[in-house]
Amino acid sequence: MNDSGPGRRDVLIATSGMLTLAGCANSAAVESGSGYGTTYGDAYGSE
Amino acid sequence: MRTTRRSTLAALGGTIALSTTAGCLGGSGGGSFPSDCDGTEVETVNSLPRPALGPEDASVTVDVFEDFACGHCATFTNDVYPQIESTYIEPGEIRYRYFDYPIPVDENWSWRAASAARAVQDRTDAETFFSFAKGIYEQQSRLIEDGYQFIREVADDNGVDGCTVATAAKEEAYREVVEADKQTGDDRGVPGTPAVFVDGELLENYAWDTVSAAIDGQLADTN
Repeated sequence: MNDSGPGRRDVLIATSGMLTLAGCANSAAVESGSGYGTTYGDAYGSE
Repeated sequence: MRTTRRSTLAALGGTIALSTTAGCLGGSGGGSFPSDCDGTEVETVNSLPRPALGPEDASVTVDVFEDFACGHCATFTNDVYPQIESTYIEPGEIRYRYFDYPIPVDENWSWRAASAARAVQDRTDAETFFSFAKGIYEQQSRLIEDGYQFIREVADDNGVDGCTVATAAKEEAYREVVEADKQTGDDRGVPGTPAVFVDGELLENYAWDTVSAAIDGQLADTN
């Protein structure tokens, strides 16, 4: 399994002090600062 | 346009035999292509109707962009979608539309599974497409363990020839259809998957409470 691809990221959004899972991130959106996620993990299929 | 292609292991001797035995399909793995499916023909297809459920004239439309290898899409499909289905789709309150959006979470299986699902749709109907998709998401980890065999089994379970669907996955026979969906997602600013739109408005997350509140709000506005 190769988790190093640019698109393989899970996104966490900080909402009112709680971390809410937002989804698997489109790396282009993350890099453009779309607000969909600010921090992310890298596990395949993780939640 | 459809172009006939053949999934075949040409007589190239030891090279092909070795690669088949090793089951090496690239960085994301996924197991060997079933040898008894060799020679199955599929067509390359570049357009299909949108997989959708519910009345075409429903007052609220829900669009969902998903990647078959995305763990969050599995969570959405397994945990949230059944509630959407029973609460809004089956009563005919919404039009629910599926869009492929291979990020790709997995560089191979995000695309292959999408082509497989479209092959199922092409040979059956939208209901069977969604049933196949549900089968994939229920055991999503099998995509990277034994993807072709897994796809074959789920297709067979849905009454579609598994070898044909596995071949469509291998050949990415519906890649143009899937790419068109992804372009639609890019045009609509999809930031990741699953991305849920209610009457064109992107929701901040895919939680049931968020989705149901958005749908209820739109239903209240339109009724």
